[in-house]
Amino acid sequence: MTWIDGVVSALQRNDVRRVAYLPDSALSGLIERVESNEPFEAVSLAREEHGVGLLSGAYLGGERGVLLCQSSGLATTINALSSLSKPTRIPFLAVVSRRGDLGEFNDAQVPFGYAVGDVLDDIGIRNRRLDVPETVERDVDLAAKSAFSTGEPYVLLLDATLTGAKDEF
Amino acid sequence: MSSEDPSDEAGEADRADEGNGVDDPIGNGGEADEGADIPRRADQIACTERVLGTTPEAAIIANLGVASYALAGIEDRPRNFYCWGAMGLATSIGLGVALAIDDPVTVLEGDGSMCMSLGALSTVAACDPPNLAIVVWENGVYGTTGGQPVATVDIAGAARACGLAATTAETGAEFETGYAEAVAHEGAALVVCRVPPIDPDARPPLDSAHVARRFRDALTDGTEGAEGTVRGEWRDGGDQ
Repeated sequence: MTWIDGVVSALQRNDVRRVAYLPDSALSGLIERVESNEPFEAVSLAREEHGVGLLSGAYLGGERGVLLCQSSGLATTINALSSLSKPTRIPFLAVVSRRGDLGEFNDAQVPFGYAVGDVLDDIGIRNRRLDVPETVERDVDLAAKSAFSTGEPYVLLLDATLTGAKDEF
Repeated sequence: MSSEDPSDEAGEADRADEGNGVDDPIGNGGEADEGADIPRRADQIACTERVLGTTPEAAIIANLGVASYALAGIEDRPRNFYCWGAMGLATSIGLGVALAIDDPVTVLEGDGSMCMSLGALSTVAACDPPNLAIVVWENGVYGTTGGQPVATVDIAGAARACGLAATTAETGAEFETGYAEAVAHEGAALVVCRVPPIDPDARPPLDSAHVARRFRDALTDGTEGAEGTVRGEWRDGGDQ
């Protein structure tokens, strides 16, 4: 099972239907899978922060969703996570490609990508780095269960060692 | 409300002079202003009441600050969702709700918050849910921070450029027509309503989790997709 199969399987098992995303090369295979396959309903965003709003609204209407983006885009969601998701106790699930660490060629990706877990920890948002395919399905499944059971965000950070880094050295 | 249909883009040239919002409002007849109960300029409280009167069952998402204060002051109903933070996200929240339910959904935005996320209108236009109406109260100021000016933007024009049906209302009568047309429109639609700044005393409940739960229960009867029902297997097996 590839890591993409694992994510898709875990999302389906948890009735996650609404997918909000921005394009990302590391997640492109996953995005193509959810764009074209039921039961997923994909929405292309203009900015990742809007995804927190859209998915929160979908949850209030009875749907479950997930945000797919890269770590630089997750950086735009910090206020939304802090001032919408947390105080309202609306669950939030994100599968994020984490830039800025092993294999990173672009220094614009380093400061937030490398520190994203620390930033999320500081604002009380649980997160976990995934770097081997074997645990992806289990971890996405359990993160989704916990997010929707506790009314808390959970962010899964997929390292480039899992998804494959851009080779621009 | 201008006389054109929200989907009619041919009238755009007519709005070039709408900047000061005081001259000859269309459809508000000369004598109607003298002592009439419809004010010459739209009033945000009265227009919020019109929203509730036109779509009493609508799920309403209100931006933080004046939009929420005005709504809470009229009626703190379960189908109200107030933002206390996340400025700029009211339209995105409303889009998510509109995609998930069939009932009418109305967003009450401010001009400052709308300008913070104009890009979200492109996503609204792409999804184009027929049950979504977006009202933008254009009071020209950041109301909750002391009335600092908001940049002058033709928000209806920007919405149309994103592919969204949009109009601008100057008076209560224009707003009433424009809102009804936006609700009836076959896709999502936006109405800018030019209003003087107000400073309501009312406040929505500060317990955001309570408001969110109440809102969700009202939209889903407390069953659809709720924790402990759909996810019974996890709940039953879990150690709560």
